[in-house]
Amino acid sequence: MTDVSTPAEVRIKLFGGFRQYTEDPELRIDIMHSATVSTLRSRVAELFGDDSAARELLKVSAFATDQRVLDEDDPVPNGSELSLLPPVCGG
Amino acid sequence: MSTTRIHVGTTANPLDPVEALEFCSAPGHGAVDLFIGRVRDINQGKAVRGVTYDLHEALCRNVFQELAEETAAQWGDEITLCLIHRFGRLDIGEASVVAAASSRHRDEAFRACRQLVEEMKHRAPIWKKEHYVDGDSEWVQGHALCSHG
Repeated sequence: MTDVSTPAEVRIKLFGGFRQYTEDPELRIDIMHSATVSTLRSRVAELFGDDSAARELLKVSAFATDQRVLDEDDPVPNGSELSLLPPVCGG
Repeated sequence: MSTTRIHVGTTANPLDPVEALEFCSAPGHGAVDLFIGRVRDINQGKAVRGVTYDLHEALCRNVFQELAEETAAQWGDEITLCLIHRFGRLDIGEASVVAAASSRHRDEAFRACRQLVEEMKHRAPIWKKEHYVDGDSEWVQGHALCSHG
């Protein structure tokens, strides 16, 4: 049974404009099992430090699984790999 | 009984509009509408020499399928839809996206094809980086997927 009081590693794939802010297209963050997407967003902002451009892009970006875009109140899915999606512009 | 047929996908290979037309073909379909999105040589006054498309393959296919099912629900259950987007570096004139819709009559085909393309541009996890003639390059701003704050 999952111990919700201990942190778990979340892997976050980066796309689009985020590729210009980091050499590695994936972030790894330890976060509590009970954390929400909103909390995860705050943790990612901390990782970007004083890079204001990356932090501004984060504000208008969405977290997603391979199946769907997540809401801010959603719990971070256990053991899954997430993606950070900046504003889109296909076509 | 629904006869909706849907084909969606992403690929690194050049797109073939004929394949989309062949998929969107049925004896009872008197109309087929085809849209091809191509890389153009200028954007907002800057001369462009190419575009790199980045996309989230798994989520993109899921979103494409969802868009196609919504479109079919709106324009009739006898419709055939195809939506394929390319990724990687493309030169001027190359096709980045092919969308096609066929139906018994032209009105549904026109509207369904346009709906697929417009929704794709707003909802599919796809990004493009323009490469300019002056040597600069830039990620193009787009539509936010998030609904917070």
